[in-house]
Amino acid sequence: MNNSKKETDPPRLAIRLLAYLLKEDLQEEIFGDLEEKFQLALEERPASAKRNYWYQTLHYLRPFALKKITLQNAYNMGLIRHNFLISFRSFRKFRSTFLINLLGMSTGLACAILIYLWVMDEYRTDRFHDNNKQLFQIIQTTVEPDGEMETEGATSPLLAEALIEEIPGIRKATSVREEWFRQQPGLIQSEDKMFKASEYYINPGFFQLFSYELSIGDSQNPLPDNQSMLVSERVAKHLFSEPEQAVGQLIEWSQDRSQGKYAITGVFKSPPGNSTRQFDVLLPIDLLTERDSFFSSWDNFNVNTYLELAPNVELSAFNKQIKDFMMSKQTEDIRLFAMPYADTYLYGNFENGEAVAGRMQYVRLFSWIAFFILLIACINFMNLSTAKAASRLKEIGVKKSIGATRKDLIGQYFSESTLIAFLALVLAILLVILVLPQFSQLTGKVLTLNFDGSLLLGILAITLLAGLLAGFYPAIYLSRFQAIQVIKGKLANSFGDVWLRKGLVVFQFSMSILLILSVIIISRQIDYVQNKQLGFNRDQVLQFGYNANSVESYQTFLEEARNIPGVRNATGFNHNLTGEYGTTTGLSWEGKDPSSAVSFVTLESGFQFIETLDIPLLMGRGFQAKTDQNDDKIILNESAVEKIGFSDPIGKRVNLWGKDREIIGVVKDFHFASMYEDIQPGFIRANPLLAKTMVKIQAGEESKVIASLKQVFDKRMPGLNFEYNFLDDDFQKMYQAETQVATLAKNFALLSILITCLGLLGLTTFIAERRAKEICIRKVVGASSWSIVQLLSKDFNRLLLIALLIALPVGYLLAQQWLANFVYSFSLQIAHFLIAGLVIVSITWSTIGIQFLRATRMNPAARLRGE
Amino acid sequence: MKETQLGSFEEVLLLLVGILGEEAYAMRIAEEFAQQTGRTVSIGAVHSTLNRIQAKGFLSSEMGAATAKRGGRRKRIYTITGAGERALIEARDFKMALWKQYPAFNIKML
Repeated sequence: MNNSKKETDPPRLAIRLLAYLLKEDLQEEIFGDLEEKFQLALEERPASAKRNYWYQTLHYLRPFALKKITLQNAYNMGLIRHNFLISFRSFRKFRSTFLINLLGMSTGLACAILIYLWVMDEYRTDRFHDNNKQLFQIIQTTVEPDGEMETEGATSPLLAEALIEEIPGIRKATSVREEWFRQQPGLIQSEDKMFKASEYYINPGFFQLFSYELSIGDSQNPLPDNQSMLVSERVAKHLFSEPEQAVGQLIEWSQDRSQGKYAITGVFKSPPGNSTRQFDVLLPIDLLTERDSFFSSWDNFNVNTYLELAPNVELSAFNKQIKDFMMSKQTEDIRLFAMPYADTYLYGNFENGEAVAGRMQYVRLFSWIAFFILLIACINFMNLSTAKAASRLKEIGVKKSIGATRKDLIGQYFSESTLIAFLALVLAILLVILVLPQFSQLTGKVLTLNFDGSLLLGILAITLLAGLLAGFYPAIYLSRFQAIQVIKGKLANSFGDVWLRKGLVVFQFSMSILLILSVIIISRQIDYVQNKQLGFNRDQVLQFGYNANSVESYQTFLEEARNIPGVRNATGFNHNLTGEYGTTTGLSWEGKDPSSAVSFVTLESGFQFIETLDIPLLMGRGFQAKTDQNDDKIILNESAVEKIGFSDPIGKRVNLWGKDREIIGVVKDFHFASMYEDIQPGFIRANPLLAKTMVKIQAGEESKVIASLKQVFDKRMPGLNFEYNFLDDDFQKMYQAETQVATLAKNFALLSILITCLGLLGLTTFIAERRAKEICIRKVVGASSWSIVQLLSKDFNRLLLIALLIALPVGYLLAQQWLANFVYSFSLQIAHFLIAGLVIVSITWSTIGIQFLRATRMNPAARLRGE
Repeated sequence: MKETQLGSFEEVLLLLVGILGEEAYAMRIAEEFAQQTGRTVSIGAVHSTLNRIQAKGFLSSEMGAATAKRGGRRKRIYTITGAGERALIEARDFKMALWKQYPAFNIKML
């Protein structure tokens, strides 16, 4: 009951807000009413009680209940108006500075808003279930004898029921069989219409636990028997035009494990876009047990187990209870823990049996990038306004001598910076609207700018933060001057201030260098992993789904495909080569330590698989249609042979899931997962009927072969689209996240450099202006333009050098850290760092150089005439 | 000059205050309103309206007892004043008079 304190208290922020805003004499009754209402809401609908409290709070913000806002006196009002007026005047007077600030700030804000939209979308994923806070998934860790841990969501189908019986505090539990590893969608067929659909297998409790909506059907028992099926509205509309007409229809379903005729007993709404689980067909999980008695056992891990816990259950205590639950059921060293379902999306990676940030890394990374870009824009403002201090000294002096306090001056500079921030916001929103479509495409999301409460609040908070951040230092700095000295024109720059300003420039440079470096390194690594030798030939391999209904028809289809001119070979495959494969501990052999559980990767292929992908055979042969129809052969990879310890494996027998198999071949290790992972010991089994077909095509014959394949396909599957892709595409998809990050980083790096350059431009213009007379005199006495430019940029070069010295080592450490995630990575070279340095140096020099060079072109006679 | 006409929401609230008697405080009235009409209304909206009716002189209020459910805070109990009752009756009579002039209904009511 320890955590109940938080859950059953009204939101503290709301209370504080009310206490601050409401009239004191009304507070007692209002808080009393709201408290009572909250308790009532807790009983009726606990999930939304807090939201309701906020709703009530916001509706109390009415004139009658609020404290009178008393402006202390008219003087204050006047001052505010005056501050705005002065701000506008100074904008007009220093037009270039103003424009630079506005441009920089709006670019920074636009970046921040875009990233905010993206981050919010990430946070909302999978959180739409009503019982979100109580919804958990069971995660299972298998500890192997060598201490290695395999952590994943796959659990035994018997777990859900056993947990609810034996462990207190569980309200509901259900098992869901989500995608099989291959995943080729199944084929649903009614008369002449067909639809490709991916299926989940569920228990009756599915719709009680999750908030997916069953629009037609009995939510208590939507699938009354093993011949019933639920379809999404999308499928129903496609096959029967109206969802209502779908119910009761008999359809034909082609999918290797659940082939057959089914009656549609209900229709559900397609899962919303912010759900990671997307399915079009739901089938009863019992069906799988019926067809494969091995399916429901304590040592088969093939379903996800989801729970709804009672609100008073503390997760850590609960996890202690279930940790060793599996030990009593079977022999392996398996540990369980429950993790909030909503977290599985952002924290979906596991290390040493614990959840670690997966996508959350990117969310954090981009939040930081947003913050830094905004900061760079703010620094521009700080630098320019403090540098310009000299030109506003008189204003400050006069104000101080007629009695302005320091607070008033601070207020003035804050209002100036927030004013700029809000002006920039207008531009920023226009920018965001402009680039949002491209940004959505880049991130693979559907992002929209819906000005609802939370977005407005977010944007306002970001803008206000930017304004205050930018105004903070100038306000403190400028308000500190002594009136008398200021009017005399003495501006004593203290040592600290100069250093701070220089430090800020160094910081800007460093951030830009880091961003450039990260772009170089991420792109290099993506290049590396995409072009690394994988141990098989992935070029010109076409893949497509083909749902045959019998072994014979599939084999004749493959034969027909092989006979197309330009096709080198064809085979079936049940997995993919980018990390979707099965694992099993069910492999045993003579001399295996019976108490140890060694996990192997299992791949299921058709005949000629090894030949089609050109996987080098070390020994033996690949699967052939003539001899290997009976599923009693097996092919191992090098690592598996090493693990097993056979010196001459060909012809030896191993036992897999209770069945003896002869080893007919050993292949050289090849990659079947991403470069984040090592090559695991694994084996290949043959299956004559598979849902995915791979065809190896001769180079240059692709279009002809595809046309012929389409003909063969259309003949056998009339009415269905021939959808195919190349094996290469899988690899691009596998590193999609990295590719996205690289592209985003590239764009944001560019923007940060742009903003930094804007700041430099402002500073150099200002310096050139202030030292104009000096430049002219130097020219008159014979200095060359070049020597003057050198002299002027000496300061900047020093700062640039310091930034390089800081950023490059830091970048090196960060790069190493990131590359350590990969088992296979390219080696860092000095060249990468040199390039980053060179880029920033050349950009800086061209910005500064051009500006100073222009300054030296002045006609000294014109400039000095006034003296 | 204070407005002395009753709005329709005001009229309903005034009636609810009468119905609830000792229990007529903002939160309870809001709940009762939701129950009787099937429409939800925020406590703030009710409170604000009660406040307005009170300013017109139709309601009076005083702080009542505290209960544990409210974290020991007292509640403001509203009661209808004489003027309030008169305003209600006037409102009803006025409407009845209009009803009677509506010929189609008039026949049915007979």
